[in-house]
Amino acid sequence: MQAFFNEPQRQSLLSILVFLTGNIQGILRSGIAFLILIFFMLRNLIENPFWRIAFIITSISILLLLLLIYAIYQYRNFVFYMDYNASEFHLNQGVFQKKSLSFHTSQIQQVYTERKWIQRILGLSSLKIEVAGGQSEAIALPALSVGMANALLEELKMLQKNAEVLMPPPFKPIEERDEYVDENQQEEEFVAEKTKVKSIRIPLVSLLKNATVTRIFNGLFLILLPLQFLGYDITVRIFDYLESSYSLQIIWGPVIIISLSIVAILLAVILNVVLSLFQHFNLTIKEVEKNQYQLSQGLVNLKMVQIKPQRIQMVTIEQNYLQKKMGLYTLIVRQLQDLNTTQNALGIRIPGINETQLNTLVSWGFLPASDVEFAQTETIRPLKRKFWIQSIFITLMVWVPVLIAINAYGNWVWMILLAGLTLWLVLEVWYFKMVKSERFYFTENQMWLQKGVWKKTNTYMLIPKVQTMRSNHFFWQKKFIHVSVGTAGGGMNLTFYPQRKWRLIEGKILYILESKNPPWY
Amino acid sequence: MEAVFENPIYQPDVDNVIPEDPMSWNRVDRKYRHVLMIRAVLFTIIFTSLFYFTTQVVFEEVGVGRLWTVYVFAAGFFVFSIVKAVIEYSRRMYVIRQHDLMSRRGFLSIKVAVMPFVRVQQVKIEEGVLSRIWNLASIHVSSASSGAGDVVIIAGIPKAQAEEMRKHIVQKINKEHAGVL
Repeated sequence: MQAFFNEPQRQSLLSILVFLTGNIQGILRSGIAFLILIFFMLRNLIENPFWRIAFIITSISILLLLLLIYAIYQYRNFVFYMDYNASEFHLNQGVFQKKSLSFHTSQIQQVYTERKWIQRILGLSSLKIEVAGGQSEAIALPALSVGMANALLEELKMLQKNAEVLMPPPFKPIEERDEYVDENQQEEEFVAEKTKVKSIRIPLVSLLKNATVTRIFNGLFLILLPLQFLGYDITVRIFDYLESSYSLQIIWGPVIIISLSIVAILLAVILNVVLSLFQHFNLTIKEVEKNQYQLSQGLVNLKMVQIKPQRIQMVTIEQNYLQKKMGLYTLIVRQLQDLNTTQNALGIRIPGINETQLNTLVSWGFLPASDVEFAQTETIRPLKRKFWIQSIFITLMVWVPVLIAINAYGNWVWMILLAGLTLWLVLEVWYFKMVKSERFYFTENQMWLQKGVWKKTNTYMLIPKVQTMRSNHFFWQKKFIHVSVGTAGGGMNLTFYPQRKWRLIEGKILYILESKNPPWY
Repeated sequence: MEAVFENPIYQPDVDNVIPEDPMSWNRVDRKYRHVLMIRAVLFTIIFTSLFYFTTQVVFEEVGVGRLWTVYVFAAGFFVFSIVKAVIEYSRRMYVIRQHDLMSRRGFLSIKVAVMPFVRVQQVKIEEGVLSRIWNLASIHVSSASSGAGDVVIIAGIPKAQAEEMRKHIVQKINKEHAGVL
């Protein structure tokens, strides 16, 4: 391979125009409201139209000149090169805030060229390099000549490919790294198994049953959002009417409030059922290739998502009390973030799945099997002060509005106090149970977070998927700590956990990652 | 026989190590205090201007604009910003070990982030306008993690040292990824 890019080099000189256009677009996009405001202010400040126009033209000219100078510096400081020996790509850029970025070519997820209108006019091409990492956008070289862009594209692709061949873990899929797996044998097994199609379909009845008992608050929110003005008006009228008679307050007040709540919940359920029907109708998971599954769903718009088990970073299984009675679960799968879509950041939701189907997914290797019951497990729970500290916030959250309401509606003191007390007690008991139910399990292979009172939530991830661990605590807090364990598909947050116990687990996770170097996708 | 796993600390060429700390956290460069101080002064000017504008211009008509409140606000905010800058400097630390790197920072809340080299995806050096006056830079090391704060940032180190550390980290990544532990 010829080393075309081993010397630090700039983009095409025309990139000044690309940078200038980008800067102008940026100013127009972010500051258009501000510019309109200035224009209207000028109308009052400079009454003479001639001077006003002269002022605007001069200001725009100065701004353009400054942007041009800035673009020239952007061009001068934008330098890139390849270190062929180390298989690294280096990029320096920035005017006020100088940035110097480098990455190994094996870390490239995707590399492609793009030609927007400005590049097409100037005969240039933009090269984009995507490196894994949710918060970082694609690295762009926005103004290369077409030939140079294509040459660099080919070279990066070749280096990426070579790196994949030469590079042992973690860039190999999990199944290829297992020493005891004979690839030929696995292939034969796959061909044999291919005759029976691996497919799971969520029945319509399960979907509808699931929709009636889950996400009620989301439905309520959707209903109450457009009805808020009308709802407020109706409520005020009812309260005005009730205020006219004390007996009406005692008898009809609670009846009307309860009736309105029931109607709202019923509407929310109907809305949920309809939405679920449109979104998840005929939800099917089937194997399309070896270790690649396709999830398809939708009544009007058929949506399809490709899921690779080794790309799954985190799994959540939810079940509320009513779902438990029906034997249904909601499964949420978070796979390695696709930089082009935000869907995976939210997780792929599979509602109305039953236990047999969950076990089938585990037997296919689609979901990792739990080893919490079998392996040596460490269990830690949040400290009790999690409840006490949050309890202060709950108390303030309930009683401050209650006091304001008493001040505003003097005639309703007892009713407001009773409602406030009930709400406070319910929230306190609910939160106490919530803290009591929370458990964090840790084995050498996976981590589980289990919590919930009405809705039990189990979130788990395999240890090799861990990317970063963050912790924080106020300087006066010595015993507990808040932790965030990040993967490429979301994170697990633990609050008010004992600091010493967590540090031991953190050390074990680091040991597993650093000594065994397990693959994460 | 399986090799013994060790994770010794890599000590960059710095003179301000905290010796009594068992983790041997490295402090950032002393000159970084100037950056934090100037930042504090700039924040004071910006917020005082905003406060002046709100109290003197917006509320003037309703008669709540009092000039002395601006002086009190400016003095209070300045003292707060300086104290914050001093504490932030004292808490800003980092440590690079054989297999991972850690950073520690914060004012009231102490934040610690740890990232193994086997998970590092990008290494970036940034030089802010103020940092450049004292020839300082910051290293941003990111993994594939999707969280907003999942980047280990080591700010306030001399530029040459930052470049040396970047090279060291990139070398470590390559070795770790190649399975050479």
